[in-house]
Amino acid sequence: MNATRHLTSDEIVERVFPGDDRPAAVPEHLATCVACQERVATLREAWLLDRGAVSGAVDDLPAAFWEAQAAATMAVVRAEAPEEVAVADVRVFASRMRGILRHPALAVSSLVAALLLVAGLSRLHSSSTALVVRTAAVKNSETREKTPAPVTDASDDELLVSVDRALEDSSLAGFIVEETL
Amino acid sequence: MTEDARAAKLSREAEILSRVVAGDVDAFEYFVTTYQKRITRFVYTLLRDSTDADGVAQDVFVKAFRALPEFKGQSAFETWLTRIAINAVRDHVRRRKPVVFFSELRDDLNDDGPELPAAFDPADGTSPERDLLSRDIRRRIAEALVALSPRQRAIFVMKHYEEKSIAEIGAATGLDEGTIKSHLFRAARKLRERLEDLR
Repeated sequence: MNATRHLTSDEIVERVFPGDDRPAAVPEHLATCVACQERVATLREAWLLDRGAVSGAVDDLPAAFWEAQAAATMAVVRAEAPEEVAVADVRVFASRMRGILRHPALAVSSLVAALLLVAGLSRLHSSSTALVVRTAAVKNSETREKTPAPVTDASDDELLVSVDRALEDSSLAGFIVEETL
Repeated sequence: MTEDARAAKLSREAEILSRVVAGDVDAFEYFVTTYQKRITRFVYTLLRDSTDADGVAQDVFVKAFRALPEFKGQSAFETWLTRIAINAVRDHVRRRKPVVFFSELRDDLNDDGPELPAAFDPADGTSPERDLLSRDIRRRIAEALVALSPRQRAIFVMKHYEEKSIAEIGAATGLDEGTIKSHLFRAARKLRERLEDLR
């Protein structure tokens, strides 16, 4: 390079925007020419301003923006996930476990309430079972009225015994005869 | 980042990835929260539109999730994500500006592009003439960038805005070193054309 001539626009742009990772050698002219140094500095300053502006415009965004962006993105992602239901179940279970660990007293009282509820329901269930049994017994007795009573029935036995005793009683027998006559 | 820290991060991400692939969708949130700022910044630098950048950045993560079964772990997840971002920006630009692309973007850039954060305000400590010149050059740089092809623009931004090495750009784009340098050279030449009258 001619050490006496000013840098071309290409050379100035190359100084600020090198096309390689390695820093380019500083031209001899640039070390001594204030005008060329000024042109390089002005371009570099403008570039840094632009870089700072675009970077700052994003970096200055509030945390709420990033939270909203992440939430919106995850909403779309979750909507597209095929195994969402299974994962959601795991998530709900995990969050409930965390809740139990955080509030043990509340968890125990909830458990007691649940047990009481189960016990109450069981009792109610057995009562309704008894009602069903009773209803069945009534139905059976209605059926029995239409059919001859079995001889083994205890109440019928008692009735027969009392009738026999009454028949054996002569006075009562004579009364009956007299009434009949 | 040290080599050990980098290896630990890669190992952790591989473990999280296997969980996501196994069906733990919520685990994917790690990648969203870890890389959303970096991807949004990258996309915004390429598109120069905050609304578009937000939408495209979200799209990048959704596309990554869909393509996760195809990710073989041959590169870092971040590199793979960058490649998806480049393709997403390219698709977005093609959809958005099918015909009159550059003329519309020129109008968009007449207001000096994105607002400068206070820390980068050139009016602080420099002369008004220099401020004006800086703003003018900055506008021209932005114009030159949007005039590049999406791939060229992505390579230029990765090199000069994200300070990635040629090898890192190669990993993200799938291009060899010579092709990347060629793109960088062409991009710089277009930039120079925009700045020609500053000679």
